[in-house]
Amino acid sequence: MNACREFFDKFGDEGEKVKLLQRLEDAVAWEDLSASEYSPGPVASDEDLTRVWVNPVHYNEATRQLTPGAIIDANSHGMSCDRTRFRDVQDSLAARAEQLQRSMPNPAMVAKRVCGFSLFGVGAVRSIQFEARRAFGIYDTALSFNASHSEVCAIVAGKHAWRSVRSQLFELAKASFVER
Amino acid sequence: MNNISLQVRGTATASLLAVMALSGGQAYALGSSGEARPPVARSSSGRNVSIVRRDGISGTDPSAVTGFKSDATVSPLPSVSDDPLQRALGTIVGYANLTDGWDGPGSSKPRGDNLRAVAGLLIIAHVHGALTAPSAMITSSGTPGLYWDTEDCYADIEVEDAVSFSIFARSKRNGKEVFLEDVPIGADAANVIRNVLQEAMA
Repeated sequence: MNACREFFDKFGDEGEKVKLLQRLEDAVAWEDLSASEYSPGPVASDEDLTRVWVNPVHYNEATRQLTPGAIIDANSHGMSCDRTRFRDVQDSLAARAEQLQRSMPNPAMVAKRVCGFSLFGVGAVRSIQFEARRAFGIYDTALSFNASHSEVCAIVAGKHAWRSVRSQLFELAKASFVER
Repeated sequence: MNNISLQVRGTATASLLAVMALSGGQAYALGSSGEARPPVARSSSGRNVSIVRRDGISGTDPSAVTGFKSDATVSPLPSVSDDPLQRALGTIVGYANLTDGWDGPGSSKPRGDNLRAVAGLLIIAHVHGALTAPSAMITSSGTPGLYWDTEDCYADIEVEDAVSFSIFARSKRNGKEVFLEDVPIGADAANVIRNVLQEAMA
């Protein structure tokens, strides 16, 4: 088992997984390794990723756009996306809606719904930098029930770094956002 | 400062609303999200990706695709006021209804003192700083904030400890950035915010 897969197997569900990743020197090199036993192969820079947005709290009704708060996963446990090469957008939307329906929260919680989706070009995300360093790593974290699953993780540490790279990823998210 | 400057209006109403709302915990209703956009998306790679359903169901009806009605009950709910300041304040008030786990496992509700602080900063920036009212936001860790997003500039503020804030600004024209943290929430906050925005735009 390679070191990348070992890391994601061990910390896959950890809320602070991305913070751990930021301490490693191999974060960029690991993009070329499989991160999951179900992997169809590392994520190539000419691929597109679908991110389905489900929390209405992160949706700005006035601008009909996302808020920057939507991007936080990329700095905690990884921002889950589907690779369009292995699952098309409609299937991603349907799968997320079904998942929400299966796990409807208790009435006191925010009722999630599919608010829309963004399409990220892998190359565009990988081109984001902070102080001449790569800002995000994209890993093929395929799941047994979703071979297209991948994660976008911030690989630069620090508050300024995060605010900078969040603003740049936010621009990409808005540019391709389709409201549903 | 290009299009972040704005005439101040509704000062008394807005301030009163802030005090009343954050002490009363009032909820706001979310309106319909309106018409869906055309069912074709352009990825940041520049490619068009078709999202037309293969079963022939119209892509313009959200419920047809998601299985959820667009007017489904949602709480807490942001304000839908036409006034930017009142809208932002209403959204912050809505955050007070969030509970732990609101944004998935590990997410936290916001602290009341942080919400009051961010509402205060909103008024400081808008009224005393004469800046366009920003929009409200919150992270899954429960950190409330404000943001401006114009054609030329992006800026955000986050309040983590009720007595100070951090501010980030980035010029969209040349990528120039300014970041400050541990800025006291006090009489000089409006000047700090203005200076950061001006410096990023310089």
